[in-house]
Amino acid sequence: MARAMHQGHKGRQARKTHSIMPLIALIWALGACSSDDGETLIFAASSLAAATDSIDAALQAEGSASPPEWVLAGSSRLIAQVRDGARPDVIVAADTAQLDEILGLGYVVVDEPRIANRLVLAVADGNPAQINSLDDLGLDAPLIGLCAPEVPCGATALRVAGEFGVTLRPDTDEPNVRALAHKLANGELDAGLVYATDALSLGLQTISDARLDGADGCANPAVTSYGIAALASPSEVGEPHPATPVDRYLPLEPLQQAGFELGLC
Amino acid sequence: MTRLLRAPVPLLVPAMLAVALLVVPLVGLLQRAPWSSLVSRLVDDAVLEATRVSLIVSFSAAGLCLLLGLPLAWVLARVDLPFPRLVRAVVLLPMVLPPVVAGAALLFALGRRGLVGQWLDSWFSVTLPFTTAGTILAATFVALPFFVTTVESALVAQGRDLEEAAAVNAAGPMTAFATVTVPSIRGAIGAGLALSWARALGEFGATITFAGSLGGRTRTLPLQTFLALESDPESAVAISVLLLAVSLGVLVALRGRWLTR
Repeated sequence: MARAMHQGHKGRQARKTHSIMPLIALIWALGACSSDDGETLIFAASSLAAATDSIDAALQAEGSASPPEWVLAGSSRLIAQVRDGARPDVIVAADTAQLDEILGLGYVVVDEPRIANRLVLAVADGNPAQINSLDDLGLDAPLIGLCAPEVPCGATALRVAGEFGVTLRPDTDEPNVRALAHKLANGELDAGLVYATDALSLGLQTISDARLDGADGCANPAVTSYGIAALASPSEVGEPHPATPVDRYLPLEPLQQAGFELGLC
Repeated sequence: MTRLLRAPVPLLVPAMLAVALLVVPLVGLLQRAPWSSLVSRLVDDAVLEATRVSLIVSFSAAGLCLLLGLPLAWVLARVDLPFPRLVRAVVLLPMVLPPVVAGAALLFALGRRGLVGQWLDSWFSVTLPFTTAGTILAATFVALPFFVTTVESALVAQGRDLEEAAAVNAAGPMTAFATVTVPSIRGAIGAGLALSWARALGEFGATITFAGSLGGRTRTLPLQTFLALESDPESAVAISVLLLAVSLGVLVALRGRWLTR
């Protein structure tokens, strides 16, 4: 059938092949340009998306030549990519435990800055389903979204539910917090548990619930702290607390402005 | 048939490279497969649930492709449309559109706040995202071009003489379509069904964007694979091997039944 489709079009086919050649050359050239070295490559949990622009700006203000290159995805995915050979300069995972998996691969855990995030109850604009508290996440009627339990924001949501005895009836388990937050932002979901940073950056309406917003720091199950690892120079490997200057890549002020809690856990 | 050894080297070498490019990743997958625990990983509850959803979704999508795609293929092959190239391009578009974009487009059109979706929601209380129906729709969107192009080329190759003669002799064009045209291209219809079914089975991006991911409702095998990659890579590989075996089986059977000349 493919033969039938192309019969009688031979001349045109040949011309097409020729016209594609400059395009291939262009793509080739672009590829060569983008692979230039010297840029810092940062793998960061999706929830850090809220802060990347202001971090870029702050670094530029400090005289950094080019902004770091960000790769944002679910923390587990990023760790898996590093395990499979990716070598970012810095990796920020939304779960400290996961970093242990890559310590044998030339990475050292960085102690400062300590950054944390908090789950909040976000609702669609105008709160059409009239969500009042965490307990409403167990209702059948509203469309509820969570992160999948396999990624940190989903694991944290389950921890919150367990700790506070709340039933969760999600209609979708999204693969990362950005996907979830955007579905809340465009009103396709009624309510969900997202990080405070995502709610802030997308301007999501949030419903306060004393259990989530309680100020008991790291003891609050809704608070999760990030783990940061940096590619170590050979002399640093094996050192317990190497002085890797991560604030060179992750200045604190933009993080704080984006809603991250600092120095917490 | 030219013997392998007598094939010209400038053709043979790139051809072998092409085969290697396609086969080596599959070998990579297979050598990571947890063969000893393969069965126990596949009878896992979450995997069985995803298998059920995948079967419902892929067969429903193939059915919708037949229902909507057969008439469309006929119209494309037989009716003098205005802007025929544009119409064909639109029909083919889901083949080249990144599936995630397809999912976002579906959401903007059929989501609760979407172009059409807001009326579905307020008039009929029908909400497609996050439902099995939405998953079927996403799969149909990406699979339809595979069915339509396969059947349309068969219709074009067959020509319209037989059909027109039958339309004159028999009761009318609809009867001719049903009794002459459809039986004469049943091979292509079968091939189109199998291709669109396989595409629907493997669909990931449009589904997760438009329909989300919930066990037993919208989480198909590819979505389950993606999730498992986060937490249990061996299980992900096991599911991939299953999908690979099923797809390969379908394509080999297809090659034997319909695609040989």
